[in-house]
Amino acid sequence: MKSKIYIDRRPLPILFLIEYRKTFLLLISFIVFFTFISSNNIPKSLTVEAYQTLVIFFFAIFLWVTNIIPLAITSLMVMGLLSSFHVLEVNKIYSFFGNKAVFFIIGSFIISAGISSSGLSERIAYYVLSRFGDTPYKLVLSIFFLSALMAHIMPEHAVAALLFPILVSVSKRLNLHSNSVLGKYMFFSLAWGSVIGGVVTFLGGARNPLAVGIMFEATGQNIGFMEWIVAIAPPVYLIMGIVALYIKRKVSASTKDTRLIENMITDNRKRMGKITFKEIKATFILIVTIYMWIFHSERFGIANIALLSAALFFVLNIMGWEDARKVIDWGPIFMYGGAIALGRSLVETGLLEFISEQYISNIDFTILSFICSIFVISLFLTEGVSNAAVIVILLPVVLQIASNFDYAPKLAVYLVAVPAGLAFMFPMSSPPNAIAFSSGYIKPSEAIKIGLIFKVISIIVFTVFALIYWPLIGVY
Amino acid sequence: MNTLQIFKDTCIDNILDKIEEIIEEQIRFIILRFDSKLVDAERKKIIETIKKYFDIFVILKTDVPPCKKRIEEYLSYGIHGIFFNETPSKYTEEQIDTMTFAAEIFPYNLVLAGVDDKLSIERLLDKKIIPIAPYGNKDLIKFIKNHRKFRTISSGIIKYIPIVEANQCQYTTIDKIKMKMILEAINFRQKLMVKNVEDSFNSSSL
Repeated sequence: MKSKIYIDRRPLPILFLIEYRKTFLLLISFIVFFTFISSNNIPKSLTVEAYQTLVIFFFAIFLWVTNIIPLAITSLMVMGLLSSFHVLEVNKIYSFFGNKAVFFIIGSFIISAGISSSGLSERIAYYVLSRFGDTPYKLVLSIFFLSALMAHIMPEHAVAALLFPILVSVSKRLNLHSNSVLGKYMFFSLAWGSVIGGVVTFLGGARNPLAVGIMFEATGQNIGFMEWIVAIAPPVYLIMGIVALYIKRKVSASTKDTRLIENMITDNRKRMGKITFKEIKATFILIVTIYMWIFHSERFGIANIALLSAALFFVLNIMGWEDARKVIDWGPIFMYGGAIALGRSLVETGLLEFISEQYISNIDFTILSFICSIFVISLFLTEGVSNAAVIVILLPVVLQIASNFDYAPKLAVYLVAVPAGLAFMFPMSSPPNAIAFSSGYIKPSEAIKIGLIFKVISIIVFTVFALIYWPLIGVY
Repeated sequence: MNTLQIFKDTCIDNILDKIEEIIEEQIRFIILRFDSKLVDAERKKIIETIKKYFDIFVILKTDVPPCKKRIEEYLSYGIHGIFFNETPSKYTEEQIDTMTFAAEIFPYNLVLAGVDDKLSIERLLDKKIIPIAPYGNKDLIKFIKNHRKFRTISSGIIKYIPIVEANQCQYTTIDKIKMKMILEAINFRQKLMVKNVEDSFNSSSL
């Protein structure tokens, strides 16, 4: 394809500044960082270590928000800085990579790779689309529910990446124009389904185990695999229902004959052949793993189950190391190690206690205002910042606030982690959105408008569930 | 003139060998003319390869294209200058307009155009385009060289690209360093100016 170029004729100094803005920002941020960290003007009630942690924390937030350097590199740098300034003991800082959340994430990446490389996920996708996609609204709803359910067991970005090429073929087969309503909602369904489905379990987004990991390091408390689902699934399923009704209403008017795709899907299914032994083995491992997570996670630990399950994919010859190596995303893993270390430093140096005494203890937080404010901040912050970064930035502080007001740490985790995953509005907010936007059917203005409505619905639904349902199941 | 005609089947090694020969003759510029069968990506790759191995001014010889967009595409090849070689050298208003556009986006004093009369020379110099008289036409060459506007436009660069006259000069080490700096500055300017539409969408996160 011919590359489309254009010549930017703005003055060269401006082009220079634009091209190297990241370098300038980085340089300035380093100068500001070193100015503050070497300052002797430390508040009296703050220890040197707490002050240094504060400076490193703000520096890290700046880098995570602006994304000048990759998030994972910021995290590694944070570990280096914490260690260099002796905020915590060196061995202790690096030991945070030994957190079970990190190993759960590694295990879940391998499980996801195993399911993909066995061909099981693709077969499920073709089966669902051919079985239910005979009218426009059924097609769109099947895409929505398929992506949502797959995001329960695979990372949301992997689901979007898997279904995207299939949907592109479908849209070509139906000859959909760029302003087609059906085309638009097919890709909206992909993004929304992956995003909403991804918050229900620990597997949909690695941010959920990260949040639990940070809470464990700070309070020693844990949230089990099933416990998470029991708390989160009901409100999320209600939101899914509302979104599904909205999609159905919008697409019902479409008169496109989607039976045209039946042959294409059937052909592709036929090309895949009969179900392979690899797929059977992958299904077996997946069922056993989910069973173990639900019923035996207390005894064995979810990270151990994930690692053993990951190993089974190799033992049963479903995938090779090369397949796994390609899909293990080391970025989040590096990021989480650094994030957990930073969170721990905030607690151990007494910085959070200081902030809490100085600034938060005077605020009168009722349970309603606590739920609403934290949920809203996380929900909107995630549109501009990586959803994992939202957790790293907010959760340590929110845990401290919760502790001050005697609210359960689990409540803090749910209120930060769940909305951090609900990024509907912008392409940069989450990978599924970016993938869906690349189809060309979605206009940013529409995504912002509809996304905003879904956000308001999410706030209402979660506030009601947090006030009524969560106390019933013992969250707080 | 060091014009190198490049065809679809011209091997890159042959191009590099030819340039090496040219450099041995103390010449620091090369004029490339591409066969129309070569697509943009192939042209770009050839120019990238030349620039990778040699510190030499790369000038594209071409007819005046019918649209300005084509000039932008030429700049994106990574060439340092452009030489419009119409025959006969009677330019229409549209062609002058297109060449003026080239003079705006190409580095200062690196847009050249063939001429064979004094009126055209005046018109081109007014638009900051360097007129190139046919070799052997001493009268026109003298007229160009003595023209006040030519001396202003071509100052500095003409030593490295002496295409108004065929005679070459010896380059000192200082000249070579200066030339390297000019080349790098032009390359950097290009890097800043040439944008890909897709990259722009990505950077604005759309």
